[in-house]
Amino acid sequence: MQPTDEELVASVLAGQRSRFTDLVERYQGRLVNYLFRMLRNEQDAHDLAQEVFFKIYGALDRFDDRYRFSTWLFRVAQNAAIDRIRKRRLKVVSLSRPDDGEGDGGDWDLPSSDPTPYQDARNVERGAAIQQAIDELPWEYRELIMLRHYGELSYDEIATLKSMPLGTVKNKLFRGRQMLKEKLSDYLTD
Amino acid sequence: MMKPIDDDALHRLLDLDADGALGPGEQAELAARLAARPALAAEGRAWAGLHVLLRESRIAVRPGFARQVMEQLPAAPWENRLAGWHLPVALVTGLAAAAILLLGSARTLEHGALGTVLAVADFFQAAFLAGAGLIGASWRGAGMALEELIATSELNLWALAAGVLLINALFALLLRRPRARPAAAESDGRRRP
Repeated sequence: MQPTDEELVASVLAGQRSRFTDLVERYQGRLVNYLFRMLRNEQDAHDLAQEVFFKIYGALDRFDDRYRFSTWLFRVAQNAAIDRIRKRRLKVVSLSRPDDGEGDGGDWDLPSSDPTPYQDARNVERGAAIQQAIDELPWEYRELIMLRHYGELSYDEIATLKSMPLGTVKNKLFRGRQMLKEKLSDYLTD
Repeated sequence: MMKPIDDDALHRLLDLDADGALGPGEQAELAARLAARPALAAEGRAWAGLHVLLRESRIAVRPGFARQVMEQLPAAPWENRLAGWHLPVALVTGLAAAAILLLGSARTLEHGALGTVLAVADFFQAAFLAGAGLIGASWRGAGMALEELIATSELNLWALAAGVLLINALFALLLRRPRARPAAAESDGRRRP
């Protein structure tokens, strides 16, 4: 049986530094994907994911094991990503689009010029359409969509992380996905 | 007979089903509703398609990422604290184990299987006696030093009395100090780094 996150944290704190690898391997995909959607740049997402793991490791003795490791990790990640976006915005403010006032602004051209896993033109186009559809969502829906579909957090975990009632999380996710469904309807036909 | 629900509620069920978030009861209810309204099947496929689209848009992590994180992982402040108390505890435990082993082997020769138990008892008795002896000697030494200090001059006696009073006042202050409130950052159940 796989050890739980909290058991792994306890092992690391007991001196088994190498057990932190298990936590990194367990969360790297979810964290990189979440940060990629936040930052819209694959290299930045990897760099920031690494920084987040460093931060988490440095503060591991302050983790309260009555709560979930995943929500702690993603809270740190979200704060780090928002800081990174603010710093970027300061650098490119003169080139940016007008701020929509919804959290992270829109300072970058889409689609991203980073290499994507999509090898053919149709997939590249589809990837760009998804990114654009997500970016056009109001922040309150967009952040939950990213946590659910890229951070792969459960509804309960998102409710804890955002200090929201479970019903509100479900409702916002439904509304957000409803908007995505409309925007991406060309890609959803039979 | 199922309670009628509006289209919005039905779409919520289709969405949650595509997200794998419906319980068995809700899944059965949705299946029954879909059977009653076959036109909704296409809508269900569209919801499922959206979830597949989102899943397929995930990117791959750079190969060797976890190894790179571990190679560059900086030492955490808590690691030094751990090392700070682990070493003395390990040393004392090791010495105690060695002492018990030595005593045990000697006692086993004399008393058989009971020897190890007796050895452990001997060890604790010896440790207790040594500790008591050290404390006794310390107090005796401190007493002698004080006696010598007081005997030298009357001023020393007054200085000592003032020192004792100051220490008592300090203890009283510490006892009256109010408890710190829990940090606000922990109110949501997490301590932020």
